Amino acid sequence: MKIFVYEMKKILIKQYAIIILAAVVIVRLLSSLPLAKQTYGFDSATEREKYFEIISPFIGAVTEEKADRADELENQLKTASQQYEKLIDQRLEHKISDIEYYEQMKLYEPTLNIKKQIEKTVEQVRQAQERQCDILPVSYIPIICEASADYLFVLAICLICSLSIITEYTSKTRYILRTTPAGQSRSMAAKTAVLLLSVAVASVLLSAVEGYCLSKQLPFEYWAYSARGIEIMTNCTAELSIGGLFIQTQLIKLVGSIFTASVAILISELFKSYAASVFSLVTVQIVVDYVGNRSNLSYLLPTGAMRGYGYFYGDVTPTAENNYMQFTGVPLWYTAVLMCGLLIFSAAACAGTILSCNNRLKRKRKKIHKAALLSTMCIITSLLLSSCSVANNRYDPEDTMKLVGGSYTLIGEYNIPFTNELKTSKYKIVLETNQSSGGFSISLIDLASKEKLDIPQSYFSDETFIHCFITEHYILVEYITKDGAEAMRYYDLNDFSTQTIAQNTQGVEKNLFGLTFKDSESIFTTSSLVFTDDRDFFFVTDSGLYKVGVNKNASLIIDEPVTEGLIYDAHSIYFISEKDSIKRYDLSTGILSEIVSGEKIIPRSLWGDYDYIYYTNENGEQKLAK
Amino acid sequence: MKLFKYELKKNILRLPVLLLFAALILVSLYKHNETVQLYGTQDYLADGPMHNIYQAYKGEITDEKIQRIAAYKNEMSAIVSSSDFDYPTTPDDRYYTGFAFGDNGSSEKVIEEMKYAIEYINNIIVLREKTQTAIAFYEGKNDYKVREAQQIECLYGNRHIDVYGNYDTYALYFDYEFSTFISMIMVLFVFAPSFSKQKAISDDKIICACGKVKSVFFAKHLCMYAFCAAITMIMTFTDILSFGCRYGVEFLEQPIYAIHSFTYAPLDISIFTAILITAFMRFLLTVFIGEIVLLISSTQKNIGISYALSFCAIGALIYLHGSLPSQFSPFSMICMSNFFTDAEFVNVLGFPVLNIIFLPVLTILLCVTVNLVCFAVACPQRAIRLTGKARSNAI
Repeated sequence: MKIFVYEMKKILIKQYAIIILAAVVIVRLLSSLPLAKQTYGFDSATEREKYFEIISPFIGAVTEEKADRADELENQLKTASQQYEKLIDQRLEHKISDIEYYEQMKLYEPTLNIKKQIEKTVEQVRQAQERQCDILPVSYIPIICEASADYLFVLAICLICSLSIITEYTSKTRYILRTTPAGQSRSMAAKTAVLLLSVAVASVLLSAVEGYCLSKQLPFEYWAYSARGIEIMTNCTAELSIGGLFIQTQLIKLVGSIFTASVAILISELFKSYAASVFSLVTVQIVVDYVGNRSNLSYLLPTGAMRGYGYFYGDVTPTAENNYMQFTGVPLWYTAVLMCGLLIFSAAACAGTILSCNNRLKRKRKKIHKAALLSTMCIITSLLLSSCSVANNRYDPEDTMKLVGGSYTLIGEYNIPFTNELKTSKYKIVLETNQSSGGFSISLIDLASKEKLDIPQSYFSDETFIHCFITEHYILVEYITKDGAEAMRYYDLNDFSTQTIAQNTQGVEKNLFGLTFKDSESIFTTSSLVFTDDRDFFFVTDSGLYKVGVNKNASLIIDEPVTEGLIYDAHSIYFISEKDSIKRYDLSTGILSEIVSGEKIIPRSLWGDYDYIYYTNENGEQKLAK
Repeated sequence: MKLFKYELKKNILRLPVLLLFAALILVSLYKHNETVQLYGTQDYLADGPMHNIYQAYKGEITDEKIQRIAAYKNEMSAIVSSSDFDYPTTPDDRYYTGFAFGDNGSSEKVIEEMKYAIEYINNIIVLREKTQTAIAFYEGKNDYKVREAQQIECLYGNRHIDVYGNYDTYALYFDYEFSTFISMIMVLFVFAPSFSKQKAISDDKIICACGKVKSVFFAKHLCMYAFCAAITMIMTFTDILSFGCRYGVEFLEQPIYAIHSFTYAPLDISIFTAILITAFMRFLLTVFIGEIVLLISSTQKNIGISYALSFCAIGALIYLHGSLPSQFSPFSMICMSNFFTDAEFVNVLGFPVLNIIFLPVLTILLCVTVNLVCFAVACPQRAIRLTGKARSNAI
């Protein structure tokens, strides 16, 4: 105990460890304080207050009542905007006087003034509904999501560890210790304990600073809410509360700090060199973070533990159209294995360092030579690194899309619109986009043989990729051609044949599965496409609804213009007809029936879920059982 | 000279330095690969669709080439748009890309590239016209603006591009920052212990007693300059060769504005000269870092603290770079493409000075200042007096 207290005094006071660590904490506090302010994503205090006023009743779990209230708010805003536009038109056409205009405007102004806040609230409610998470008054990424390593802390750890070990080696104390039975190992044990304890305390203090800043951004009352409520954590695979996420991340950082400290102690003891302990460790941390940032390599290596939050970002992120998913995170099992590995390594490094200091005066001297220690640690390190590389090269069928640089790796999984059923194909489809030219190419990787099959016709060097629909049987790529026209290309996955199925160049004849069109409008866009679970798909043109079957020939199945909102529920297709009615086309019987008529239906308002069809008419949103 | 050789051996020609440098070069090669994947044009790579057609048409743009490619494009276009054309799945050797539709696209790209070269002069004429309008507008109102416009008119005169080529090697090289980062790391590693080690083992007292304080100081600095020059040269070669392996190293004599992103490059220089200028500016930045590291080293007795403070100083300077105007921060030289994209001027006593000239001059001044401070710290008056005494005793 005496030696521990002595070493503590020496390291903390004489070798300035306390000042170095305090400086790190103070710098972190000063740099974090400006961030510790909740702005809710609005510029002024008034805007923020208004937003908080609106969002307050919605905070917490999503209920039907809340969803209805959000719909009401949205409709209120929609009506106000429409009325506002109408009033402007009337004023421009001199149908109303300026006084009348201003008087009527007063009715809608209060709603229009809080447009941004309403939109934000409705968006959050919808997102929470979709993601099954709580609604939080957070409209931007809080400090909790900052996933960068604190290089200053890494530097401080390396410095205090190497100072305490190397100073003793270069001073005359070592001769005294060598002549004392077990003096060197006892002294090293005390040193190691003091260093690890100081680093742990500093790490906890840094966590406290982070916790304080987070509490300023997000009051404690919300810490029990699901972490998925925070935008960037939406796809967090673990069921964590915000508080839980914070604590777990801080624990990871603590493990990371202890690992760094033990490596610094070990290297200092082995090499007695500041270049090896201070320089190399800090450089490795910076270089790995810089080089491995994009492909998540930095999280997969032990240095990633100092970064923290990235481990919980989640495995999948649905992209814009929910047609494919994106891998962005580190699997939780990997995080757990890595943490265990780091702790084992730290324990082995500390034990090895202490045992290697046994001197000849001890009776039962354990023969741990430096060379043996070095080789053991090398083996443990290589095991740790090889497990990291195995994990990096893994293929996990559940990771449906992996973002590697600018390349999107898609797998043949897709969500059937509306029902969200997940289908899996036998290919991994690699769609590589070139960020500089915007061009793209498609190739397939056979999952059984791991062979890469390039689709020769899929090089689009100058075209800009927009969407890619992938089914078990075909890929449909929507892109913008060099001359700015929107086009679509069809790739049959059975025989790899391909054809451009549409290109909306003005006044030029277009070929679409054997049909020739000549109009100035877009033949179809992705919003007018419907995929069924067999090889058929449907699309809308001005002439009506077409079906494309196995033979890739299009046939007109509904000979009347389809205005907007094509939706599909595995049995039927619903759409708004030009005659202000909603029609249903039964896919099995081919019967077309009118389910709503005689109402003024707002365009693009048709949507649905498993049980109901929703649309908006003059009286607001309507719900219709299927 | 002896001292210089000795310092060279002591600081640079050591196994750890060479090992670290080799490791960082390997990391840089990995980063090159990532850069090509992310920002390079994949079409021009050996297996890209543009590769063969590019080999056939690259070089000087002649009337014969223009007519040939235009005819080929029309031919391919006719094949692709014919009603009986079906997309084949097996490549045909008659075509550059193996497919008619592929050649249709790639020939169009070649035409576009040639068009850029031919029409470049028109862009410059338009720019000069605009400058003349600006001169007329500012005449008598703002002398600085007039001078600036006159300089622009002078800089953008008599420009033309005669060659069709792929310049991805150079475009990527000018955008690549990691090499400068490696140079900075290397300088820190090598020179942070330079003076500290001397103090830690009391060598400084022996040097003082021998009357070699100034000589050692200059030898150390000379060694640092040599190291910075060597490392910059090696990194430049590595970058160009690595990118060049993918896209080829040719057309070095072509003007810098032949690269699309440098259409309005302020200087009418060849790509080779631009590479030399870039290398020189990277060298200056590395020397600046080296001076700071040596200054810190000269104040510290402990190597560990010297490393730590050097890291902190570089970190603080990079942090400051974000809040300083780019014209006044030497760290702007990390990415050189900024200097070639546009003509940026700095108002020096009412005269417009190109940023590409101003910043190196500023960096040299900063280096001299830091050097003088370092001299004052490392060679205090007492030590110099002792040097004088030692000399007179020797005489």
